[in-house]
Amino acid sequence: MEGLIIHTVAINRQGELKHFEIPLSNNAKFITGLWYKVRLITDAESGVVTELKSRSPYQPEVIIGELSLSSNQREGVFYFGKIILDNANYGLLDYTGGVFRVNNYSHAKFPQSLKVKVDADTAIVHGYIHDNWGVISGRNVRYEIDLYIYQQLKEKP
Amino acid sequence: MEENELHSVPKVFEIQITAAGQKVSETFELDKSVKKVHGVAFSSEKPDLMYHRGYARLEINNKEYFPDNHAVQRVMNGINANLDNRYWPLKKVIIGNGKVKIEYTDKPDGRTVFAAYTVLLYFDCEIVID
Repeated sequence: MEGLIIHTVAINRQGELKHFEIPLSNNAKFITGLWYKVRLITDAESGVVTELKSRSPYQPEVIIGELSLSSNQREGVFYFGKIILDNANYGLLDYTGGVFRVNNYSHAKFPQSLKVKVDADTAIVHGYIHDNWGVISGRNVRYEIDLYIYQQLKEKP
Repeated sequence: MEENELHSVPKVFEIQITAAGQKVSETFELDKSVKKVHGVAFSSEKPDLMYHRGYARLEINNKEYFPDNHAVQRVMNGINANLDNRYWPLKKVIIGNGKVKIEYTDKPDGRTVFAAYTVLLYFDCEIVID
């Protein structure tokens, strides 16, 4: 049986470091997957960087922060990585681009969750998000990150 | 006596989003002929708005499949996906009373400008034909 916890973390200030705790379900056996979604609350037209220009067709991705997740078990930190705004290069060099623009929302397949296998004996997952979006935009950027924690639950006896 | 045959048929429901930040709660009923539900898919005439702003809670026969604030983006599949892989698979659906409850929330995202849009909910069903 699979369970899903969605935990929302709000970032308000430039360079903010936010710690949080995510309580797991009582009957969680393993953490099996991770995914996240970013929602910008500040208006993008007020100077927030949402894409990076480059001379080549390849666009660098906008890194909006760092995410670290850890449990109390021996795994310790089981996820550490950059939070990327969107796949800016979806459909790169697609020859139909001029006629029918390729976008994440029109062409992409299901976004894949990151597969992990972490013992869920711990009751809480600790984590932090370190803002970078405000740093590259040179202002306070308000946004929320929804963290999706997929769990394998113990079957009821 | 001839055996009943099951046919794969999509069932479509529609939700109108007319205001930014709107929360729409609707209950639909599946036909009596529906015997199985294999998956669900979301579509819209403004997919960019649904992709960035759409959140949905889904319940079938009082069993929750997507919790509160579940991003529609997570279960959206574009045209690059195989035709037989467009639906987000729903496991072990018991049709029961056939009631499908959806709570769709539009949450503003600074990268989009709101305009009214329609969300179409497709269920991959098997119906029985006598």
